[in-house]
Amino acid sequence: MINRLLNIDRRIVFLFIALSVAAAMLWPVPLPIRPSPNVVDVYRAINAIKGKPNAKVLLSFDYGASSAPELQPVAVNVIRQCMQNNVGVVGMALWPDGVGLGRAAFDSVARELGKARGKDWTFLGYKPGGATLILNMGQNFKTAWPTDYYGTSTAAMGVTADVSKLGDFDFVLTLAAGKTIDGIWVTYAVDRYKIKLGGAVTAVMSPDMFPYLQSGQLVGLVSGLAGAAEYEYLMKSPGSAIRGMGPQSAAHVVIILFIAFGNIMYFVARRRARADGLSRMTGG
Amino acid sequence: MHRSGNVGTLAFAALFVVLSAWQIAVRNLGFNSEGLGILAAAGITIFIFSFLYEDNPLFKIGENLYVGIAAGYGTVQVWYLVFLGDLIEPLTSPHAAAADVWLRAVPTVLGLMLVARLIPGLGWMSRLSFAFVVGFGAGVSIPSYIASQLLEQIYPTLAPPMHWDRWDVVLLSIALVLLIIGAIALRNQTTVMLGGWVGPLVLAAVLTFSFFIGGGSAALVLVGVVAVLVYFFFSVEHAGAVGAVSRIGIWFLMVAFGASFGFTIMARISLLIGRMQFLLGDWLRLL
Repeated sequence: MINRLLNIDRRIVFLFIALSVAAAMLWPVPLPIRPSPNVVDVYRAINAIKGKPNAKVLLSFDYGASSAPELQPVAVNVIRQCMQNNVGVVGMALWPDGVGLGRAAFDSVARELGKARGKDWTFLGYKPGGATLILNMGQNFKTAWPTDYYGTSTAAMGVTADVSKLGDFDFVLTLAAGKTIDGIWVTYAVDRYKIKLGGAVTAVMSPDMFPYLQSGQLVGLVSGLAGAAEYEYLMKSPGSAIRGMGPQSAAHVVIILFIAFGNIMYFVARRRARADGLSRMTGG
Repeated sequence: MHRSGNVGTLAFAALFVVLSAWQIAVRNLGFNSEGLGILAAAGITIFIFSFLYEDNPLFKIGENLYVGIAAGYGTVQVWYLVFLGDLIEPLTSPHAAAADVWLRAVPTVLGLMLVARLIPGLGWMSRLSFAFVVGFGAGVSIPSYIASQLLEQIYPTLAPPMHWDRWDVVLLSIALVLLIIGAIALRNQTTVMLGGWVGPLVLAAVLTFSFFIGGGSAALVLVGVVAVLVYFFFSVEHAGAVGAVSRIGIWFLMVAFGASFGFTIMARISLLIGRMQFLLGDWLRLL
């Protein structure tokens, strides 16, 4: 019996997790959300440039569809925050997959707030090169991006007309699902061009990002679905991330219960094995 | 394909067909681009999830579609935004300046030389391009990495002593006392307080205490960095004081691995939630 419990079919674990997530979605229980300091730092950094003449924020969409549940809500809310504050916002992508997601985020918020492309925002699209693109942007923005994704000259658009180099952006936020944040943005942009960089990353990457927070190379960090929910809370615009926190907690409870159950069974089995060995040695 | 594989395939296919037919019947989904898009996405999601039951043809279909579409999407983006936008159109433009043409022509030739590797007899040409790539890459990245990944990280590890709080001093004093006890214990061939789960438990208690009092983090970072570096210093035997410190380094590594594993679970569950929100919301309209 104990051996059977120690070797539960993994599909049963999957089933319990799926049921817990579905149940928490169908019958949601509101949970308190307390924004963490790292998320608040990103929010405040963008609010701090409100009212500054020609203030601009650059968003880099360095993720694909597989990370959209964690990062897309952050992208939408940061764009919303910039547009509500009348801060110019420019998007770009170091991943080709980020183009569709970036366009979708800009289109939805711009339509909602009635903002005009070219004047209030633009999306530049994707370019390969990674580090060389950043170095190019640091020296001459217009050479790196002569036109935006839609073919309009960056020199002719109000939102980018006075941007001559990367350092002209008041804040840069990279939404990253890979090594672009530390391998490219922190390494080549922060120290060399003295930009203020914030990060929004998948939860998997979060532990690797904390050293950059401590060193000040990252101004703030929005981490995973929990960070996205905290950002939605700060923006007072509840969306998919806040709705996802109940299912997330339910799934975590199930996983913790399975871990506890597995450990208890392990110790019980070990005690029995020791007792059996002892009784064989004594001839009992 | 064994029998249970066929049953699984049929079950998941039936689940998708029946639920989709129900959504179309109640007019939640129409035969327009939006409706068909949702149906396709829901079907592929279910096909991929069917692998959790067991490997089956539906999963293979979903997997191959994903790889093909991702490659196709990437190719289209690169073709329109890079080849067409950055190379062909500027080079064929009647207003192209000579300097601009050279700036684009030289990297293009270097790129074509890389592809020459595929042609027998011309493979040597790719070495020139590789030499450029390696030389440029090393020249650009080595100083940048040393500055941002090493020097910038050393400073915040060592600088906190200038503005430590009282809890940092307390924790560092405790760490020093434990170090001396540990060194004596290891020298006397005893493992009191250092073996098994006692040590990690003490570290977990210290980390929890530090979190709730909101202090002592600078000392913990300093102790953690030094201890982990000592653990990876294999030129000296891990005995006595070195052994005690390296053991503490192992505890820090275990805590880091645990945190990393926890974050990984959180990320994977987030992706599941994203798909479930789509299936229950957009497809079945239950949310």
